[in-house]
Amino acid sequence: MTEVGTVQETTEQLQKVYVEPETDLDTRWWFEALEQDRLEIPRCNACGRTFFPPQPDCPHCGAQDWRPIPAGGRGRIYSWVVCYLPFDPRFAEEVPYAILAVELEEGVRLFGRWKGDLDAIRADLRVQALVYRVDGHALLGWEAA
Amino acid sequence: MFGDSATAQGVSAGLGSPELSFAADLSFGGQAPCYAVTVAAMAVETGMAKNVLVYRALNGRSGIRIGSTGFRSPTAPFRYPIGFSAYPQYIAMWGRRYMIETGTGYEGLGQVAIAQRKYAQTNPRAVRRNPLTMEDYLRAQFVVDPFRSHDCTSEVDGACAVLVTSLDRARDLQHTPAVIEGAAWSTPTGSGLDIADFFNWEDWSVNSHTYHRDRLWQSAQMKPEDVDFAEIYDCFSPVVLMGLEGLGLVGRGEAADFIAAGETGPNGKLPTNTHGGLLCEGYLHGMNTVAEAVLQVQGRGGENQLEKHDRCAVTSGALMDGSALVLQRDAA
Repeated sequence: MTEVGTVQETTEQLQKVYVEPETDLDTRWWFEALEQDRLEIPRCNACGRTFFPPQPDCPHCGAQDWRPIPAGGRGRIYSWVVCYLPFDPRFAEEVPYAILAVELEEGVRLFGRWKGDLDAIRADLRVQALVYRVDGHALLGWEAA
Repeated sequence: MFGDSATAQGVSAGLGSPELSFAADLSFGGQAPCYAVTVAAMAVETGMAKNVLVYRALNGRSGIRIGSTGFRSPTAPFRYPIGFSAYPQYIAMWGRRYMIETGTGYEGLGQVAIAQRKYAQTNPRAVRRNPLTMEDYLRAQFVVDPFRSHDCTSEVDGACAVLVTSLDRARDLQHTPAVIEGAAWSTPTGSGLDIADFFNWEDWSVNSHTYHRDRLWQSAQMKPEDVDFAEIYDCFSPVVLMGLEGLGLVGRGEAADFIAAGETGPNGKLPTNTHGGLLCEGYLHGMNTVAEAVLQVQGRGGENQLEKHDRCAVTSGALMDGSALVLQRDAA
């Protein structure tokens, strides 16, 4: 008979796959740029609009013709949450931490970890992107601009 | 449906059913129950099926906990590694934007939890039945700010089903039928690549119900003020505010005050979530929201039975895509 694990074990097993950025042909270039401390976003050559996340077709017009453009990393806080309960046990040592949704000047929204004081967060606050590293992986964070 | 513990084929085998002429497993979660009922009605209308059992069956507590379990998706690498990894966090992100857009405070979310807890106290199926005051609510610790545990549904092991059949056959049964008067589904522009991709959704303070509102009321040939009560999907508290406003049952940004004034209570203008909602009854992906609507319309609401229960609006879904129904007590 198969041993049935606890709920916690099941969750840990399922999340093991996802906590490190698992990229594919559509998203690899974005993380490779971030590894080199560059924030880039896809821009459609047909309609001229930026979009995120990276994907084969432009979500605005459907064209399969786009290129990465460098982004300045400046934006404003659109929304945020402060995580107290570590749903994934690997973040247990880090709570409380905040995740920001930032509206970039280039016109897309991005998620990232807030690296400032939790009390300083407010809607429309101007922020600047930064790169931080966990186990050698480059990840997107934010600080006050 | 998504994460269901039992497939249509399995349920059929378990019940010892004869040959099925129609079966459907939908790869949807909380956005699906109203839609599943609609698909069942379409099968009955076209003659594909005589009766369709629409169910939700899951080991949501002892099995996989959807609230904290990872899943492979195109947007996974942009969420999990930074610690943005669970549904309560995703909906909290929308909840915060709703609060920013409408000026609703923590107390506004608390009003939802408190009003629904009152109903739950007299619902034997509810898992959270303790009385809740605003003081209790605000004293509770954050799970993910702006959510405290009272703002979140409980994951449960459970099952729930409604039977969809023709009106003629329903009239031969023991209980007065609840008639499907209107239905709508929407996957609006910007719905993204997967269930957690809301990067391209324009306004995180409104969900799908805003988009299919007109189609729903047109389909039912009714107006929002025609319904006696509402059963609004509520995996998390602000989803009730977005649902009430989305269907035009209250004005934009007015839902929390409407609830605070007692208007969603049993004697209010629009009793809402009369079972205590998913917040108190537990998470069967809102199939139990549909079931409560049917029980109320049929007059089988137990201690929480409403006096006026002829017409009801029901919703399924919290974010980008979702569905809704209008049910009416059979006048025949």
